Amino acid sequence: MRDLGAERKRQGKSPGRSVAVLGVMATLAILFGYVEVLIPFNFGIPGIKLGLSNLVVLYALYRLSYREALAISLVRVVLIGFLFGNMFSLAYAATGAILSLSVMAGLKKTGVFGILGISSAGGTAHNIGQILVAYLVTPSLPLLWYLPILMIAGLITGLIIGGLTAVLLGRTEAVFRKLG
Amino acid sequence: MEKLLRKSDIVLILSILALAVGMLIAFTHASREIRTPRLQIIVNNELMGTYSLEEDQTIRVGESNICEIKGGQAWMSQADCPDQICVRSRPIGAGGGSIVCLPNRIVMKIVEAGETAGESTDITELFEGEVLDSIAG
Repeated sequence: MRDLGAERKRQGKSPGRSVAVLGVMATLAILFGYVEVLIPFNFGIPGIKLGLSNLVVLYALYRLSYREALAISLVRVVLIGFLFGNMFSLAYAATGAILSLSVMAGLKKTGVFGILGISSAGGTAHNIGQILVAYLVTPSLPLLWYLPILMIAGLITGLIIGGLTAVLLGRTEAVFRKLG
Repeated sequence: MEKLLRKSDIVLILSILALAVGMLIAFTHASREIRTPRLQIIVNNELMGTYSLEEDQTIRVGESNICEIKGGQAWMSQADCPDQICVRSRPIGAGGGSIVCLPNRIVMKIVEAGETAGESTDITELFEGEVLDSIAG
């Protein structure tokens, strides 16, 4: 975090402000994860959810940087894991989150893809990561059935999140610029 | 603001979709293969062979019995034993079931390919040893 602060300072932004922004975003990500439960989004297949908190991470990836998005994502995963989950759910969430963000950051860096493509690839990668962990915990072949289904689900949720983030990025542009 | 959906995005999304659908098709195909019922013939507690019900064939089981597969059904068409219980048994097919010829220690049974030879002989274990001998007399 000190590194991050120094980096921001070089860019002429105060580390305190940076920490504040990251804190607010991490809080938002955690809250979104909670609010999500209230939104009915159900294919009748267990394990599929919208992934609203990914909205914050994707937003951070675009508005801030890869490292800051990673920080927000990890803080969220660890806090949620300690508060409401156990070691297993933490491992699931962390793998999904890291894999998803890595894929999104990598695709973004190529400069070839737009936010919808990046987001849907991220959603897919997130679900692949979860199946991967599940398979490592209990190796069973029927589990692989979930893989293509969850990939498509991740694609759809990724598209939705990508679209929402695009709108959000556009609407908050002015505000963020004013904050500097 | 940059264009929301570039051509590369469409390619990316479609290729993920194609990959997922390809996997679904492959899995469906593989599981159908696995779930297809087959006929197992077990002689003396040892697996003699596993046969597809799809192709019609006549199988000689040792010197004594002849088993026939036709139209997805399998039955014992000939046996040299005195009671002829196996020959009179109903044909078995995809629905499962078994035909037993105790005097010659032959079991014909329908298995799903998921079960291997090892676990499928459990029925014959029931008839193992003394029980089998006493019944077969």
